Amino acid sequence: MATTDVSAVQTSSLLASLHDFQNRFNNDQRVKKLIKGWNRFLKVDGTDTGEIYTLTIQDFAVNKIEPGCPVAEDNEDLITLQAAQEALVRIFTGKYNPAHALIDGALAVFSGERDKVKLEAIAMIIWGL
Amino acid sequence: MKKVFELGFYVTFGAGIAFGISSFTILSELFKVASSFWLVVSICLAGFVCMLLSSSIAELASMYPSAPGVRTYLKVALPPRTSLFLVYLYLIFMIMVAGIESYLFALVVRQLFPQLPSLAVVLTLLACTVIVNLLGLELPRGVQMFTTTALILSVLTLGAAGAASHLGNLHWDFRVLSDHPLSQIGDALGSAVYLFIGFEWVTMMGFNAKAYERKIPISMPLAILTNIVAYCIFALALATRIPVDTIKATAIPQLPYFVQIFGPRGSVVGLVLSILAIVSCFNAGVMGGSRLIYALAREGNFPKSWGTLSLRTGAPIGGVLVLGTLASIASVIIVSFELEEIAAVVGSAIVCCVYAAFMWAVLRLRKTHPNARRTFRSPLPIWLHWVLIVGMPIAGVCALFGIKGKTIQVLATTIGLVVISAVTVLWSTKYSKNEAAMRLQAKAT
Repeated sequence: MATTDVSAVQTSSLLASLHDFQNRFNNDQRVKKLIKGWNRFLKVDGTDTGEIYTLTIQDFAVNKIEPGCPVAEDNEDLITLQAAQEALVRIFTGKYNPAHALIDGALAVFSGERDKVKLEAIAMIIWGL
Repeated sequence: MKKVFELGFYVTFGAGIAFGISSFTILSELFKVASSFWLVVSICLAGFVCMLLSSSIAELASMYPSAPGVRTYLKVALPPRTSLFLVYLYLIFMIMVAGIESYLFALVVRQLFPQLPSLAVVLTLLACTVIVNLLGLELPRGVQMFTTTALILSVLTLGAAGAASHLGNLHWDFRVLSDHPLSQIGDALGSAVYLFIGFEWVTMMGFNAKAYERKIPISMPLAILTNIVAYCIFALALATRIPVDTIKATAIPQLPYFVQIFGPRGSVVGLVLSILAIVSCFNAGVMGGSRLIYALAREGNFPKSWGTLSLRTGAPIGGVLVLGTLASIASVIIVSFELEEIAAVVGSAIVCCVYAAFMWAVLRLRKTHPNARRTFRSPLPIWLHWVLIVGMPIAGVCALFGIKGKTIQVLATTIGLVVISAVTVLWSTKYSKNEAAMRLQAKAT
């Protein structure tokens, strides 16, 4: 089952929101249908605080959240989300639609086009946004 | 090596999306309003103006990396209704381009298979593109680079090979300078901008945040420069090998040129180049247009169903189907009334206004968000921004009067599209739940 290594991480509102996201993600059967064969590293970068976490999505689940980014920047499976920390927290707790955040210029997503849409689809399923 | 690939991808993406089959139609249009000398000058001038614009667009992209360009840049800087109005005009332009490109593709196919009805070819092409997008198939970056490079190198090589031995046919001498040059440039400039439209789409494609500091700002002028060279050489090749009246009389002047060089097999060369253009420009256009519809639907500006996603592939099926339907309607209208040149010129005028709005957005954001993060800052002086803000719409309006004998149709089409956009803005704000959000945005801007 998914485990999270947080021993070296100082708990923050961003990390708490990521855990909340992890729980919802891992317990939603429709999300599992959507992410079939979709293994990615999701780097979450708070531009104003410098806080960075990486979520490992593998085998239908977010099975690791770790501080920093252990993956090379040019890894094709790496998706980077950049925003002010407050915006990231709101996005990962379902209070800010990521599609709106992207259009508002509050969120930057570096990935293939399909991955962007996939992330939005996940948000749609989890929070019904 | 990876850095070179990255920059190469940005340059070929920007150049490829601007280089469609309709680019040849615009060259034909330009021959109607300018001599070969002033036509080349106009293409260079339009390209240079687009290079200036690209530096401001790069500044916007550095503030909002990876954002859906036209929607975000205008939304954050301009009053909500103005920005939505311009985005709808831009969307209509994309739908028209899909119609024009598919119609021109049908014209090329019919040179080889005259028994095929145009409408059937157009609708088959659109159906194939829609199916590819519904299935969520995405063109790999390497293939995108290959098709664009093959297209532009072919045009350059065939143009240079055809023109080299016939340059004497140009008859360029001092008399060209006394032939109302300003009038010729004025009529041609707005239409020539069409040849470069789409270069700015690369701002959505950055691999990472660092790309917006140098690579993307550099890639846009490089893509424009590549296309300037290709268009100028091919325009000169046309002028040296084909009578000007023949160029003016056809929407696909590349075909008589290839037939002149290769004989009857020239039609096959034309078809191969058209397929390359479809792969590098048309498909990306349909994909981009459907994403824009999807984004606008998710914002609440369009019905919710238009923002439907395929949970299996992640494809924006609502946007793809809506764009496919609207493009099919546009194609039927264009095929039935042979409106391709009117649609291209009106589209060009629309984009001139949208580009001017980008420049305005840069100045407004510098005022309203002076301390916002900008990893690239346009070196253009303020006065030059204002020159372009005023000059681009004027060039667009001049282009509307470029097609002699069809001014009334062009103006009627323009007014019709403006009314459609305005009504859609009203519909979006009044009948959706978006009005409160708009008020908030208006307050914020």
